Amino acid sequence: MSKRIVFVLFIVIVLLAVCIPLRAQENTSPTQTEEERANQDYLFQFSSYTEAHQAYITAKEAYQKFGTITSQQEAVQKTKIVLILRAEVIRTYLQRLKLRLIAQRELDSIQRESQVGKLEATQAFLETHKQNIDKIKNLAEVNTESSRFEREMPATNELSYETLSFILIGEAQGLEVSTRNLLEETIQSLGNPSSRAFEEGVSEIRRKLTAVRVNADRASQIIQEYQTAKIKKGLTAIGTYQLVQKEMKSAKLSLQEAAQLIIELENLKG
Amino acid sequence: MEQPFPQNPEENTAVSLKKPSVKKGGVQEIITILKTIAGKSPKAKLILVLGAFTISIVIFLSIASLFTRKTPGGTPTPTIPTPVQSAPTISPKPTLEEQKSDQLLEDIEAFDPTKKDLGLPSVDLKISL
Repeated sequence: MSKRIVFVLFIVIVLLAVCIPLRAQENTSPTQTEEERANQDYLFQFSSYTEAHQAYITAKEAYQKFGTITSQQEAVQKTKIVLILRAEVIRTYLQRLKLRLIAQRELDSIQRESQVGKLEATQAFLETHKQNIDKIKNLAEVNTESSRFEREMPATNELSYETLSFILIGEAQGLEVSTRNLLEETIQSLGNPSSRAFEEGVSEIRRKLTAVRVNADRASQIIQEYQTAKIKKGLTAIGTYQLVQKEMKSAKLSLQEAAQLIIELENLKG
Repeated sequence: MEQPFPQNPEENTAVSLKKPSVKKGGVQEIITILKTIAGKSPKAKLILVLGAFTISIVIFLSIASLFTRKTPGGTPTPTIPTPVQSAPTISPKPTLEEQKSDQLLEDIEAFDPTKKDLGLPSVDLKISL
């Protein structure tokens, strides 16, 4: 009898020992979304970088003025800090892009995964770069490691513009799907009336939504063209991004008009 | 004939104010069992003490969580009361479609083709000594 009670008590204790940490974890789970956290992380790193950059400038000037071993050591230390934070700013920025890109569920999954892979590869490079900075002991190594990052930056910028373009396309596609779904729901709720005004309204909305799709397809083609023949055609990342933005501005206008027309259709019910 | 006055009214009256002794006896019985177990070995006593301690912590945490519970959206419940309009206007409740279309319009408005919130960071590309 007593053995059984001891056994039950033991089980209860074990269960509680497992449940309490789980419950605690649940309570401390972040209320912010992952994207909000990434944004805050980026802003924090950027602010730290700005401060560190000022300290680096001061230390560099002191070294150039006095040229002592102490001032050189100080300058190396301050440069190491600013280099690490510079890499962190770019890494956290890419993280924001990555999370925003992943959120675009309507985007072609192959394109999305491929772009995420590129972003992660660049983030991995930045991690290695930070580790290399940590190991730096002298002035020459500082300059070598810094120039390694600087050589990589044009490609990182290209990647960023490409990703921004994909994000824009994904967002427009998502809004197009939402508008189309709302249109279908509205038609259902109105009991599919067969008045001429209603039918004209519906076909106008569908035309607008088709225009959004056309804009998204054109934007995708622009990126594809850039990725396949940028050197041959002399295309730049920022130029391509601007063309995509132009398509998206047109898509936004069509979406606004379509949504407005749906509201007018809903008013037919009243 | 005169009825004899009962010596102990609680024993003889049909409606007694005393609570049934079964419940108290049950608790007492559990305490006695626990005491017996605790008396048998120091290990059992330790387990009992730990068990009691854990149960009390769980109860305490449960009570504490009731006071610190947040709204499902993750935002804390507002403590400052919102001002009440002196003459509230009664407007018809928007339908589900209307709510959805308003939300959609907001989402479309928020769609920014310039992506200002994700602008490329400007960093010094000439850091050297």
